[in-house]
Amino acid sequence: MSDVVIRTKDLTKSYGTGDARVMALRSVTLDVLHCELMMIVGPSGCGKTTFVSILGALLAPDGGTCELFGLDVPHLGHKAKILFRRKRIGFVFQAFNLLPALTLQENVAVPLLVQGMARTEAMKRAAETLGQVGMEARLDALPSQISGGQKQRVAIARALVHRPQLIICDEPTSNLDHESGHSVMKLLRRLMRTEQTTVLVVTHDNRIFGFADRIAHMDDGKILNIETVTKERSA
Amino acid sequence: MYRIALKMLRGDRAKFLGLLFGIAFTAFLVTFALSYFAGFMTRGFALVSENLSADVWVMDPAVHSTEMTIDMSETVLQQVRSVKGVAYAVPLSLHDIDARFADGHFQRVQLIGIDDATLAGTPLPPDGSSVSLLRVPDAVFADAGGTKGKLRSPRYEKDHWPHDGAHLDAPLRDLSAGDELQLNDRRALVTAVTHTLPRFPPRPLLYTTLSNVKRILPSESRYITFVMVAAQPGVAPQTLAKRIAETTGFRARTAEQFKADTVRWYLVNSEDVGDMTAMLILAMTVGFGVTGIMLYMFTYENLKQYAVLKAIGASDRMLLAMIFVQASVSALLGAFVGIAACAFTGWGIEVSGLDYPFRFMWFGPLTGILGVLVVSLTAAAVSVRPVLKLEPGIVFSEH
Repeated sequence: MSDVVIRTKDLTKSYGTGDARVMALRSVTLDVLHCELMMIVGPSGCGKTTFVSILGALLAPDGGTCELFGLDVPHLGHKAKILFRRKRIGFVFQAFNLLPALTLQENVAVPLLVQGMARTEAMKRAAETLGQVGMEARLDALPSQISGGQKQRVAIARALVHRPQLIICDEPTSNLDHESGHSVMKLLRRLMRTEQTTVLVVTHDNRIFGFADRIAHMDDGKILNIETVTKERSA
Repeated sequence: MYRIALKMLRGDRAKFLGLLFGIAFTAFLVTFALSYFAGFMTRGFALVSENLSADVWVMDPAVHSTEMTIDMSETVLQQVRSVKGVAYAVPLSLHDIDARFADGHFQRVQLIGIDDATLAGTPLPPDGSSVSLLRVPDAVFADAGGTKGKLRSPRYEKDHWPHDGAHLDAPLRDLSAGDELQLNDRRALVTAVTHTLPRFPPRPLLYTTLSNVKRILPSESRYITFVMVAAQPGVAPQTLAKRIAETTGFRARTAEQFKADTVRWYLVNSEDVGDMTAMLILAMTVGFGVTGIMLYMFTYENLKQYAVLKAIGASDRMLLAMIFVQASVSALLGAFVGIAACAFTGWGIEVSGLDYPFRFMWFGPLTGILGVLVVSLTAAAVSVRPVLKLEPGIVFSEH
């Protein structure tokens, strides 16, 4: 299981023009392996969010190459990018971003409904996935009725429900206390193994570094070094 | 996804109810305005409506309404009666005249001259008296014609036709049978007070026989404003109208055509209608504006949720469909509530007996629905722009 599923080379991205131009990414090169939990860490503004936005086909780079699962993602057409995100990527956001009007089950079913799955089937799959994250008892609850840690579990279920090949987590533990953060990361690791998914976590929460397989340290738009986490540390 | 769109719509109950209220209010305003307008127009052709037996109306070729008329000579009656298919034809005469009341005050009224022989077109007195009361010498039937307090007579006998000048401050009461008036210095005796259809513009009416009109207005050379024609059984009014026009050279219109002509005439010529329309357009513009802005704001405030859906893989087409479903459902629900409220208001006016020009016709609710639907969909179309331009990457903007 050491296949490279994400390969970026000399990836660059800037914002603004002239004197206001800011280099968000400066020649970022990184390989991520299949079924690996890679953390991208660094201070605010170091470019890690820009980097995962490009990997998630949400943003186009200015230069360099970015290959995911053998696809040259930046050069995909608009519709192909949408399909790519729809089928292969799952997102977990810092602010959870659950749709407040929908029940937890409906929130988790959204990626399947977007894919065109029949509602009954989608709701069934959503219930199963919520069971995987320990939320089977709250299917009909609204996001406003559960805690932050539970919301993040639901967000993980939503990211996972359509069996994506890559889950991108943006600061998944920043809004959670220590215990909830650890619980969420344990869940992510477990699901990563059972679902054979690759997980990218953007964070500056050093309490969860031990859950990574490798950690890419970024600063000023560059990857400074890549650290392999020892088994003792990740245990 | 449509179900999700509707759940998003209902998600924020206060916002949703505010939106529905805005749309319902606009639909109510539009429907009520048009019903009010229809009510006025209906009063405009009240003369035609109250003469149900007239299948065809014959008039001078230059006349296009019941409001602006010119008289024809009496030979028109014989000409019309000689046309094949005419069962009977009776004259009707309209003249504006000042009526002087017993205390000396005066009032502009419409004098309506009725065929002496048949009394066709005479309103029935509400107390069950016979229309033949119009055959009493100098008789007139008085009718408020949609006005209030304009047909008044002195309460006390001492104020009736006083020899020491007008008693303009005398206490008054409503005109009643037995009161006398002066029309062009001729005596007129009120033999009944009727309650026929109100007019637009409102004006007091005095019904009398055509011979009495001639007595009151002896200097007029022409007296017949309209000839009301009943068709023989089996003869279509339209066919008869065409035949009369071709044969006599006068303008002949079926009752329905004449009503439509009158409405058209008011729309083009009446300054009152122009003022009313301007006021209604202003009110509707405000209503439409509020609806549009509220819908736009609704979509705009949900941008983050659309960004999440976009990141998850929802296509632009899906998001467009969701927004348009939200707009259409809001518009239809709001329109239903608004129109129901308008119908209820109309019913209230009807049962309370208020003299208010309100007529709930098909085009009122239809325009109400179409109006809010068009505005809602336009607002949706405007609000999709930021959704389409939305970068799904903003979902990472919590940093």
